[in-house]
Amino acid sequence: MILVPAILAGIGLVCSLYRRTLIGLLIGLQLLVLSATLMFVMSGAQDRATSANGQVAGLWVVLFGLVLTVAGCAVSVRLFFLKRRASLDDVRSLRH
Amino acid sequence: MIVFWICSVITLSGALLATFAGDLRVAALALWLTGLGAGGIDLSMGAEFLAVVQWVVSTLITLVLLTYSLAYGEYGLKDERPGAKRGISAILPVILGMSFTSIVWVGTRHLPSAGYFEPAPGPDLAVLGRVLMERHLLSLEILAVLLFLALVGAGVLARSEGDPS
Repeated sequence: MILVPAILAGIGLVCSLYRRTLIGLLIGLQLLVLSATLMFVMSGAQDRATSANGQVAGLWVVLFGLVLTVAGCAVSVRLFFLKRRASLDDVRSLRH
Repeated sequence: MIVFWICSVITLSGALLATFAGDLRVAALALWLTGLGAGGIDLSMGAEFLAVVQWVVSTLITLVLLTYSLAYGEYGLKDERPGAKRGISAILPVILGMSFTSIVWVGTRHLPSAGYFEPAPGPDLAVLGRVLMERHLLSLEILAVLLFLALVGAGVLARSEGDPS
């Protein structure tokens, strides 16, 4: 059963590497976050004593995904403001 | 457990669509589908609270991504790479993704939950709240600070400085 989040993690990595835009990268990272959440929940789900810990760890990962989205959207707004497009190739230009 | 398998199929199908859809708006909607499916899996594992959080957060993130897709027309553009080039550029990520899946599977196959199991009934909300407040209070505070810093940082990063030209 834990193969499901493992496959989801692989798809998330593929999406992160295949997409050429920041939003596409964010979608891939969100898939990885979903995978990590499921992994924690399923790891703790077998035993009632560990279920709460798994859920709390999953909650942290979900909220971390929210932080990731906020930061990624801020970078894409900045990039669009400077370059009028949000390609991943332009991210390096934010250093200057 | 039929719910688990149905939600798993929905989750993985949505993830595949989010990865390979040409239009990013379709990809964002597929991400929403994936989030809903993941929430369903949480529900089947007895994690009702996390399932609701997952559904709300996934909906919010999808709305944000869709708003960006509509506000910045470029995000709505289709992938203009020729089919052959798209295929070639997908080979390496797919190989890496399959390797990653294998590594995760090898690393987790010794867990008791690796095989088929019947999930135990999840804790009720009071128990979850007690665990959150008594055992994980420091990490909760650190996460709250992280969220606050992300919001402030996003505001600073996205500020307008006039015409860059």
